[in-house]
Amino acid sequence: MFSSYLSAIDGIEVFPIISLIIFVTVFLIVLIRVFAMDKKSAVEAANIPLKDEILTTKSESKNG
Amino acid sequence: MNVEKFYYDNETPKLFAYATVFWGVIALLVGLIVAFDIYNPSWSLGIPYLTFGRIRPLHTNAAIFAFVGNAIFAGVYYSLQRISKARMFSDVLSKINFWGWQLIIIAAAITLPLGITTSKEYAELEWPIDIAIAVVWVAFGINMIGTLVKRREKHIYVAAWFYIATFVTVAVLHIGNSIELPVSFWKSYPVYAGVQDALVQWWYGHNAVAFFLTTPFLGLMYYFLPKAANRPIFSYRLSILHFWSLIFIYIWAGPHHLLYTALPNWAQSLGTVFSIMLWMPSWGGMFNGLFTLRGAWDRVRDDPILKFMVVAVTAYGMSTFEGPMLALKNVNALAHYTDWIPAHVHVGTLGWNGFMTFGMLYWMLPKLFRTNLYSKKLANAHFWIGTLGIVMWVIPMWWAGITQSLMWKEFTEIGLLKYPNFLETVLQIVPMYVIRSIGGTLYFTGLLILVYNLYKTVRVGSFEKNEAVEAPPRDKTKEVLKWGMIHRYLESKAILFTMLTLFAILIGGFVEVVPTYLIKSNIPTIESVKPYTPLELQGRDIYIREACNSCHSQMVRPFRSEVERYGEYSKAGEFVYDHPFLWGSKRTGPDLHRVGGKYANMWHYLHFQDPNQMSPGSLMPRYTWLLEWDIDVESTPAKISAMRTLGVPYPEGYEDQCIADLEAQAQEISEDLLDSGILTEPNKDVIALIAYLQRLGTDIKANKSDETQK
Ligand code: HEC
Repeated sequence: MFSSYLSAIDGIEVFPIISLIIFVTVFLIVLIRVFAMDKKSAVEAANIPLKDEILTTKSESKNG
Repeated sequence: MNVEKFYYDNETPKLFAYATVFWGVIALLVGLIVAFDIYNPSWSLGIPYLTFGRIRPLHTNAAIFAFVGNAIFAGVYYSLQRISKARMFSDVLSKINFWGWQLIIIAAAITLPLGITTSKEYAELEWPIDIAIAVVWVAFGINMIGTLVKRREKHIYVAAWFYIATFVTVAVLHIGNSIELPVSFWKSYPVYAGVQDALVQWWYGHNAVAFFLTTPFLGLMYYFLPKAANRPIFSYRLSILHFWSLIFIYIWAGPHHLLYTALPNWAQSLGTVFSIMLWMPSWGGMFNGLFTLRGAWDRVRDDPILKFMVVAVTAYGMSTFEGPMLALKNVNALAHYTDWIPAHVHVGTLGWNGFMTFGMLYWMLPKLFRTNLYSKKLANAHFWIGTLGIVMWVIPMWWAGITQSLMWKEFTEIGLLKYPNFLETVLQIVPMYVIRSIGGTLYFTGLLILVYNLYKTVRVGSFEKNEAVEAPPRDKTKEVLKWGMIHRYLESKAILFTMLTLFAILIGGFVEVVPTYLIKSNIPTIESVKPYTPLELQGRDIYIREACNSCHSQMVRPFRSEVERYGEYSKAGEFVYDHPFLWGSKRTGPDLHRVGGKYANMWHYLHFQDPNQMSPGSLMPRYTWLLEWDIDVESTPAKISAMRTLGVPYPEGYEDQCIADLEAQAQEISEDLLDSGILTEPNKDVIALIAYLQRLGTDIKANKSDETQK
């Protein structure tokens, strides 16, 4: 079976530690980026779903 | 500024919304049958296709993939077009997605009661259907990413990130867990065995909950909650944090489904640590949803849609708190295999998925039909009946779970089990099962109110298949990559974003799955464990067909109370030939891993004929058809050679011999039965099943000293 090719690798115990380190690193990077993000663009992005209403009504009035 | 005119496709979300309601009714109805079946086994009228084992997977699959699945598509097809300011990428793909998905559901509804199943929870469908699922899912993915690529809105709104993560991860999970070797058109064996198979299955099972029941619904929450409340999400930055940490952590937590099993310790600990970490981003998401309504709580009071959504988000918060708690080893020791787990699951499905779906439907269908909801009063009634239904479902099951678990573990003063008869602990909680089924009935009634209300709404509305819209084309000026804007930059690149998401979940998946390939080195090899005989193998497949594993575990945990009740605890090395593993996840009946040799063949025969003969008051269904149906002897050689391909050491050429061996062993059992006064032909299903049961767990009983740890 193909799985047996890999079974020689030892030191499996290190996996949880590696995974923890990877996660913490990624998390910190995202955290820093998020705090550095400028406020205006965040507000703008948050309003994307609410903008479509205006567009639809506009087109409706044109159609009708 | 120039504007482009285009049309939203309203037909697809409408069809998906109808399908959601239709399958919702079916899924809950089957759920009710299951809930009544469990304390009233005679309800299935002796019809094989209606017994608990075969119907339960029908209920779970219908609830998850038919009801929730269609709700996801309805919501995605509605919201994605609007946050992208673009029509769906391809009408043909939309049609393939819709009709393909419905056909898959119908195939599931036919095959599962027929006992065509892989036995793996939430992945029961056999390989031809698995392939169809993969095709339809990819059609959905291309359609979605295509839409994002041709969008007019510059940035990709947070809801779409969750949709992307859903698509990418479910594709990876589905393929990873479905690697199986077909034996015939409707039968396959997974390439993994025993512990490996269990790890892969729960890597899948856990993440199916994460990426089919959670992330798409978070996407829906980020779109429909702001819409219904008519105000933007509380914090966009929090949503970025929420997204990345959630998809990153979720995928690592799967092993928490296998605590105290024969799984290696380090993998169990990894599962626990990440489960606890998962709590943070989950609650971040919950607060982001709830705080969106800050200062608008007076509106929640009289708007049923907001009410549904608030309870949904709160239920999400509850289950994501309960989940990590259940991953703590000592809580898990108490809760696992009991009704506490279905209670946990139903807070999620009835509360989070169900109520979010109802809120979304009440909001979306009137919009699609350009009218108002027919009756707010009825929607409010639905809300209250549904909420009461959830409470009456969940609280009795919490109670039942804890009660039963404590009974399993209770010893008398002189050190004997206080309740040695397992059935006693089941009969104790029957009243709770009764209350649960009433709760389910209430929730179902609520859904019927929704059907009526939406029917009335749609009747008076006017539907427009293609809704005309105008929007300026996308601002194609290059977004500059600079510090602090990096996420905005990412958001503007659909494909890059998808790749990164894939990368994030693959790291988690890799860390969890690679060890499963390496696991051979972690399994103590036990010399005396031998492959199943042909008859036992056939019996095992009957066990799978009848889904005995939906009520019986095959995993004795290393606790004094379990060793006392069942015998020696289960070792990883005992399962090396188990394609698939059959550890089970819920004990409605006792564990069976050490049942081999416990009773005479005659006992089993009479027990299948009518469990009450051997265990008065038993809740196990009768299996009279097993006494009548013939063993599918012809399939044996193909099964043997499939198993050999997977690494089970049957000798070369055994295919020619296996049928003779099978018949000889069957003859032996039927003669033994005859000695006890039971006349039966040796070619009946029951003979094979008895052979399998008598074999269970006996390999190491026979020769304990042979166990060597390499
Ligand atoms: C609805 C749940 C349910 C299903 C499905 C079910 N059982 Fe049971 N089973 C029970 C209960 C409850 C008991 C305990 C009472 C009794 O002995 O009948 C039990 C007991 C048993 C026992 C006796 C175990 C012991 O140690 O005393 C065996 C063997 C058994 N079941 C085999 C099976 C097989 C094989 C199947 C599938 C064909 C099956 N069961 C399906 C609920 C179930």
